[in-house]
Order: sequence, then structure tokens, then C-alpha cells
Amino acid sequence: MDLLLSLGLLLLFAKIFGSYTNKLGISSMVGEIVAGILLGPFITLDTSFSIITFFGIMFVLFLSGLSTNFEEIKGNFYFGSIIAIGNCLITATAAYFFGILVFKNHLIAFLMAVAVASTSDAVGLKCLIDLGEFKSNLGKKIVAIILSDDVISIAGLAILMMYVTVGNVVMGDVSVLILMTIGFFILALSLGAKIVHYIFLYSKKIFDDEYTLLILTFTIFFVIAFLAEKIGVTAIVGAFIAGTIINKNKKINEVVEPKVKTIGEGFFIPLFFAYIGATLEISGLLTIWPLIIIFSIIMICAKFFSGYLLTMPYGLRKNERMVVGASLIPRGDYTIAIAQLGLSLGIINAEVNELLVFMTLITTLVTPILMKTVKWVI
Amino acid sequence: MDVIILLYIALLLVVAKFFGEIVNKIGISSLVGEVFAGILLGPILGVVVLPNDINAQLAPFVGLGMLFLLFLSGLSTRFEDMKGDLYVGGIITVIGGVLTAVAGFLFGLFFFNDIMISIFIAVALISSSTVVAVRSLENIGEQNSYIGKRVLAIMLIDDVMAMTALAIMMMYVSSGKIFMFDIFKLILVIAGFIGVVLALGPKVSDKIFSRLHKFEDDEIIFSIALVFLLIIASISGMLGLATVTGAFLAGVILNNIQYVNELVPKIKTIGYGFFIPLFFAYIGLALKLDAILSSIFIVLLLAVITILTKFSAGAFFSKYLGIKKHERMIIGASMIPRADYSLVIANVALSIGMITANIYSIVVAVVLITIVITPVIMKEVKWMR
Repeated sequence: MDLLLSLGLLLLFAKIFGSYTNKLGISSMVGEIVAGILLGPFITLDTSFSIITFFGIMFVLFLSGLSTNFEEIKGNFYFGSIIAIGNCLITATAAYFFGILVFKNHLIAFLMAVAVASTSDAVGLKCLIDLGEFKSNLGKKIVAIILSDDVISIAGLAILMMYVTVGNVVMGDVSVLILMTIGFFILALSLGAKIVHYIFLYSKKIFDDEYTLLILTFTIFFVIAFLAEKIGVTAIVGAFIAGTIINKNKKINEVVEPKVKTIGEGFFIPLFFAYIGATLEISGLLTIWPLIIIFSIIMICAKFFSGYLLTMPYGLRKNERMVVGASLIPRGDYTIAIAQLGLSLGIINAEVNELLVFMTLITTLVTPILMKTVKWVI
Repeated sequence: MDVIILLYIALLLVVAKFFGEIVNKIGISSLVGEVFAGILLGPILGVVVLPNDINAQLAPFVGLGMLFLLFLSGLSTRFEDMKGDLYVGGIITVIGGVLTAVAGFLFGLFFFNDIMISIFIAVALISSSTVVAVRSLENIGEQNSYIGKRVLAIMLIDDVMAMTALAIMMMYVSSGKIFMFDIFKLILVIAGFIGVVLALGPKVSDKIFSRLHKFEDDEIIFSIALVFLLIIASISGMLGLATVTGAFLAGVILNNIQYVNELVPKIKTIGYGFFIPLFFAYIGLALKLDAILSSIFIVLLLAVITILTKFSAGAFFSKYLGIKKHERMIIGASMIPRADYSLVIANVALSIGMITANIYSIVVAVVLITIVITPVIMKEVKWMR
């Protein structure tokens, strides 16, 4: 089957299934992956797909940076970042030990730890909206945690990739890596943001149409991603940073964000998730399903209890703390993107990838149910 | 995936946009600037020289660029708006097309002594560019007048003619022969398809899209429109037509749906904001400057022939249709520019190995000359009485 037909069919089923699951209150990602699983046997995935899926990952991260509204964190900055750091560390540690125990490989365990740390923005926020808690005080606190934990997992990924590129590093050097990564972040977000600001300012004087803005945005996006890869923190970390930098220019962002969203969510991203589904080996499920279930339970408990326990000193009621815990459970695009990256770099094998993808699916399916239950408990 | 591709794409996009806007400011179609950006980055400066593996990775994007170009062209083709002008427009178009094709074919035989190249030149130069023509009509303020409307009708039939010519060319490439019967069949198929599309397309696709609207997903209409594009393009590829022909027809089907006003800006966003400038810059990359310079005489002669055949069809042969001289001159001038179709056909022919990079470069150079010269001629004829 040729490329165009494969792309057309994947996009068709991904978008319809995705919209359907989205309507049911589960993330559209789930439907897109399921569409890929169903179509997988019928389509041929040749190398022409690689650039389209590569752009899919890039757009996931770029859009995440572009549409994160950091204003929302302001009032709850310390609360959000402390809880986020706490729950990321606890979850990552749990995943790391699980990885060491099962796969007996340090690098695999490290990648798993980074992959599972973050919470899915889409699912977590959607559940809050469905519960009517989005605008409440509690909702704002949860949003702060979810957004901060994106940044932490991006930083984690950067450290992991530095580690992979530098090679065998002793524990003492890890602190150097962390410093380098932080340095890159600070440099990009301060100096980079200034340069970008002036680029937009001057180009606006000469050319003033929306396509120019969009193309400049893409140029900045690709160049930063390229630099990030060359420095060793991977292109997708660069994509996220590029998104946050452009996000800082409010006027530009207003014009550009919906357009990038159209291209991302209307084309590249559903194709990426459907591709993930299509490349899964479903027969492998027969042997690893117990592992998936155990891993999912650990991952659900790690997030839920860390959210529940860490918020104790902040004067929240018991059922509010349970809502916090539940809303941190869903994993999403980050986990899948990082797993795919690990797979393409040969850090993990198809089995680990499957474990991570199915854990992600299970957590997104479980969250809406759990949220509704805990809200009315006690 | 080699991330260097990101840097190449970024460079091509930003330089293409820069030169595109500059030539746009002086009243020439921006695609000249975009192709020039490719020439500058590739053959002149040697900054973007794609190794084979990266070229292969980029190929899907270039292909999508062509599809979006023709899809958008189909989306702006509305048969029912110009029913009255179709008859006159059709005659002028066919005269212009036949003149160009015959002249191009003979030119190819004379200078290159090769049937394949001759067919390519004939087909590549047969169609005028709607976008560039409309642009130059805007420059003289005629885009909404009755002359402008008539030009649009000509351009519309011209599009259909170009697609038919491309289909015939693909048929020749795959079978090595052209059967009159097959051409006849092909024309019937295309005419039949358009008939079916006009009769059923709006109702069926409207129903599909209304149903989709219930999903409350912002991008679903856009995505499913892309599905139409990809699947129809793929089917026409399987039928032996070019995929770009399918893209054009997909656009024609969808321009009747109720949500077209919501759809077109989004298709333009992904097209003009990403794939199309990338495609035009890519066109420039493959150009061989030495081939153009060493055969500059051939390039100029072909350019003159290309300009004269179309201009005379519009300006002189239409005399017998009872059109006033002033109007005929403008019609003739607006038929001169070759652009998007010619470049797409050149790229298709180059990628399937039908022509060499030298012939490709010559035709692209001719195309660029016609685009640059159109506004000049247009200004001249505007005041002719």
C-alpha cells in the first residue's frame, strides 16, 4: 500500500477514534493509538513515515511549550513546584527500581524513570473540567503541579540524554550534567528569548502577514531543536524550550498558537500516535500482560499516594488531597514520546516500549473513574 | 532521523519567505523569490546540499507540498460561478494550449531530438498559472471586472486541460505509447468524474462533514479534508493519473461543502505556512545554473515562444469571438505566466527520471522568465486601445 493511502487511512481512523474517545472524556490520544493498533496489520510503514512521525513528536512537545499558560502557576508557584518535584522523584524512583528488578539494566531503568515522571496535561486538566473543579482554588493548585511536572520531566530527559551522549559517567559527574542542563535552560530562556523577541520585532516592521509569523516561528522552533540536539539534550527538549520561548511573546503567540495547533493536532500528532499503535506488537501482550498490570498499579499508587501525602502540610481537606492524587495519575504524550525516542535510539527494546505505552493507556482510562469516585468519598 | 534536516528545512523556509516577500512587494508573484531562495542556498552558495539519504527523508514533504498547492487550486475552482463564460473561455484555452503544446513539442524535437523530452516540454508549459494571473490582474485593478471574470473562466478550464495533459504524459511514460482511444477514454473519465463530482459531491461530502461537526473537535474538519486529499490523490496515482491530479479534484469536491470558509484558511496555513514554500525552495535547489548559462539561447528562445503562443491565443485568435481589442490584450497578457503547474510537472518528471536535471533547469528558468515578465506586459497592454 502506498504512502499516501496509508497516511490517509491512518489519519481518518485516528481522528475519528480520537474525537470519539475525547467526547467520552478520555484523551483523544487513546483513540488514536487504538486506531493505529487496528490498522497496523493492513498498512505498510516504510521509511517515508519516519520524517512524519519525527515531526509528530516534535509538535507534541512544541505545542506543549507553546500552549502552557505559565500565568496560571503564579499564585501557586512554590506549592506547585515542591509537590511536582516530590511526586516526580517518588514516581521516578519507583519506576527505576522496577526497571532494575525486571530488566536488570541501568539505562533502561533510567529511561523508564524519566518517561513516567510527568502527568498528562490533557487528561488531568480535562478531568478537572469535567468535575467542575478547573477554576476553583483546588483546581488552580493542581494545574500548578501538573504544569511544573512537565518542566521537571523535560529536565529529566535532558539529563538522561546528556548521560547517554557523554557515556559512562560516575555519580559525581551527574551533578555536572545537571548544572550543564540547567545552564542550557537558563541561557535559552533568557538570551534565546531576547533574540527571538527582537527577531519578531524587526520582521514585523518589514513583513507583516500571518504566514511570515508562522514561518519565523517554525524557523525558531527547528533551529532551537537542532541546537539542543547538538548540545546533547535532544531535539524534543529543544522543541519544548522553543515553545516556551515563543509563548513569552504574548502577541505573537495569540496569532501563531492556533495555527500550530491546526497543523499539529490536525495532521502530525494524530499520525504520530496512530503510528505508535501500528508498530506495537500485540502478540507480545500475551507474555507481558502481568508485567503491565503490576507496573500500572505501581505507577498509579506512586502518583496517587505521593499527591495525597505530600499535600498534607498545606491545609487541604482529606478528599481534596485525594482529588490531587487522582489527577496526577494519567500519563500521556510525554511518556509515549520519550519511549519512542528511547526505542529509536536503541536504549529500550520493543517490550519496554509496549510496557510504557500500555501503562499510559491504562492510567488514562482509570483516571476519570477514580476522579469521580474520590470526589464523593467521605 | 538525522536532525540536520531540521536545520535545512528552517533555512529553506526562512530564506524562501524573505525573498518571497521582497519580490511580492515589487509586484511579482512570491514564488519567484521562493524558488530563488532555493537557487541561492543550493547551486550558488552551496549551503544546502542534500545528501541522498536526507533527500529521501525530505521527499514526503516535497510531495505533500505539491499536493497542497494543487489542492488549494482545486478549492478555489468554482464551476458554478462562471457558467456563462465557460464556452468562450474554453475555446480560448484550447487554442492557447494547443498552440503552446505544438510549439513546445516541435521545439523539443528540433533542439533535443527526443520524443520524451518533447512531450515533457509540451505538457509542462501548457498551463497558465491562475495564481500569478490573478495577482497581475490585481496590480492593474481588473480582478473583479468582467474581464477578470472571463480570465478566471479561462484559467479554470486551463487547469482541467493541464491535468488532462499531465495524465496523458503519465500514460506515455508508463506504457511508452499514446493511443488515441486511451486519450479519448481519459478525457471521458475526467469529464465524467467532474460531472459526478458536481452532481453528487456537494451533497455527499456535506453530509459527511455535518456529521463530523458533532464531534466538537476543532481540527476534525481539517483532518478529514486532508484524508480526502490523501486518499483521492492515492487513488488517482493507482489509476495511472498523477497524484497531483487527484489533489486538484479533491479540492474541487470540497469547495462546495458548507464548511469551506472554515476549512480554506486552515489548508492555507499548513500549505503556505509550511509545505508550499518548502516545495518552491526545493525546486530551486535542484537547478543547474551551468546548464542554463550554457544553453541561454535555448532558454530565451523557448521563453519567447512560450510567451507568444499564449499571448496570441488570447489577444488575436479570440478576435473571432467578438471580444473587444482592449479586453483581448489583457486576456492575452494574463495567460502568459506559467508557474505552479509547470513546476509541479517538472518536479514529477525529474523524480521519475523522465528528464535530466539539465532539461529541468531550462524549463524552470523559462517558467521564472514568464512570471517576471507578466506584470511588465500587463502594464503595457492596459493602456492599449
